[in-house]
Parts: sequence; structure tokens; C-alpha cells
Amino acid sequence: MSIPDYISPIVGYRTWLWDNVGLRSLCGERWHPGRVLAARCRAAAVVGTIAGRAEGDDAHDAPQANCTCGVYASKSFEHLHTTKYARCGLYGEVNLWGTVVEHEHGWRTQFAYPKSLYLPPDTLPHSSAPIQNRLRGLIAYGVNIFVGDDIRNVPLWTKDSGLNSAGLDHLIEIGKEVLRSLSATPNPKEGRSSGGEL
Amino acid sequence: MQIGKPVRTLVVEPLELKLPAEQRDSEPEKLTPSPEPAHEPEQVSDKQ
Repeated sequence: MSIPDYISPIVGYRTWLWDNVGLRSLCGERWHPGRVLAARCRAAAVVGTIAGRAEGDDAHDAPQANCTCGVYASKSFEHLHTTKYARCGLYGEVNLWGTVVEHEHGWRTQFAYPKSLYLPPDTLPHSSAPIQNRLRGLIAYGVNIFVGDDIRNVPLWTKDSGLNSAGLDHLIEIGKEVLRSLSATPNPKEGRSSGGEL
Repeated sequence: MQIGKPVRTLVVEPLELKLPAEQRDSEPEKLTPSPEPAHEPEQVSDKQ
């Protein structure tokens, strides 16, 4: 019987892709609401394909220190920003537990589940119906959701009090800004660039 | 994801970890996983 090093989860930071169904890793792995993500090493299967070995050879519990398997997370938001991962989608905190391999700037873990989610304005759909569908998918995870940017984050949905009116107002303001940007974008037929991303 | 070189391996066993209530009943065995699970959990790779 092993003695645990910690009796509460480690908190890491990571980025997810976000669609109407919910969250996915950048590699496409689906994170299901209410279900712990458990890692398995697929390196043996990949090597097996290349070397002609059967899938499952050298299989081991993930993560192992001398492998690259496991659910990945950064140690800080700053690391996500400096490595540009934060621009890849929605970012947030993630609980990590089980066997955890600590790295210089992050973690590889056996089990993981989102702890909180932050929606950058540029990841939001530009009309209300898609926003509602997407939020419904996120709320199913049962974790606190914030909307904002580097300057301020406004609670949008919390476990204790549900939807937050200030967060909804902030969403509406973001939507107005997007509409203003769209209406200010010159017609491409006029031969002018829009000059920026939305 | 670039996270640098491995430093050490830890065992983390949360005493309590709450997931959304509507899902807890269906998968109670995964809330506080044992370091030596009696079953093979649904496993995936998350290498980025």
C-alpha cells in the first residue's frame, strides 16, 4: 500500500477546444461532463504499428516518468500564455490526481477533471442561439465559469448560484462589440482589408 | 504541450472530490480512485 504525497488534488492549468457537446483536448480527446478523464499510454501501440508489434505490447499504467503518456497540464496560467496555448481555445483550472509526474513547467497525470473555466471573448459565437447551446454544454460540467480577458473576469455561472446577471450583461456587451466590429469591417469588394481578427 | 523535464512522481489521493451530482450515481467508483484499481478504467491518451 502506497502512502499518498497529497490528500487533495493538484491544480493545473490547461486549454480545451469547445463545441456544443462540451470540451475536447487539443488532440481531440473528449472530456465528458461528470466523468473523470483517465489516461492510458498509447505509445506502445504507436511503436507497435511502426515496429510490426501487436497493439498492447509494453502497455503500462499511465503516466510513467520515462514515457510521455498522461493527461497534460501547466503549472501556471502564465505558462499557458507564454507558450501560446491559451490562444488555442478556452482555458481553465483542472484537478489532477492519482499518479502524477511533475515536470519543470507542468504535470502529467493519471486522472483529471476541470475545476474552473474561463471564456476568452474571441472564443464566443457571435449570436445568442449558439452561445446558449455552447453554455449549456459547459454548465453540464458543474464547475465555475467566467467570461473575460486579461484585464477582468466576470462570473458567468457558478456552482452555488447558477447564472450570474453581471456575467450575462458582460456577454451581451461582448456581442455588441463584435457586431460593431463586423459593421465597421469594410466590404472586401472595395479592395480593403478588414485589418484584424474577430 | 511543452512542460519541460520530469522532476518527480507523486501519488495524490484526494480525500474528497465532488463531481456533478447527476453523474456521481452512475460512476461512483471513479470519485476517489484507488491507487490499485480493481478494474480497468476507461483510459485515453492526452498527449498533445
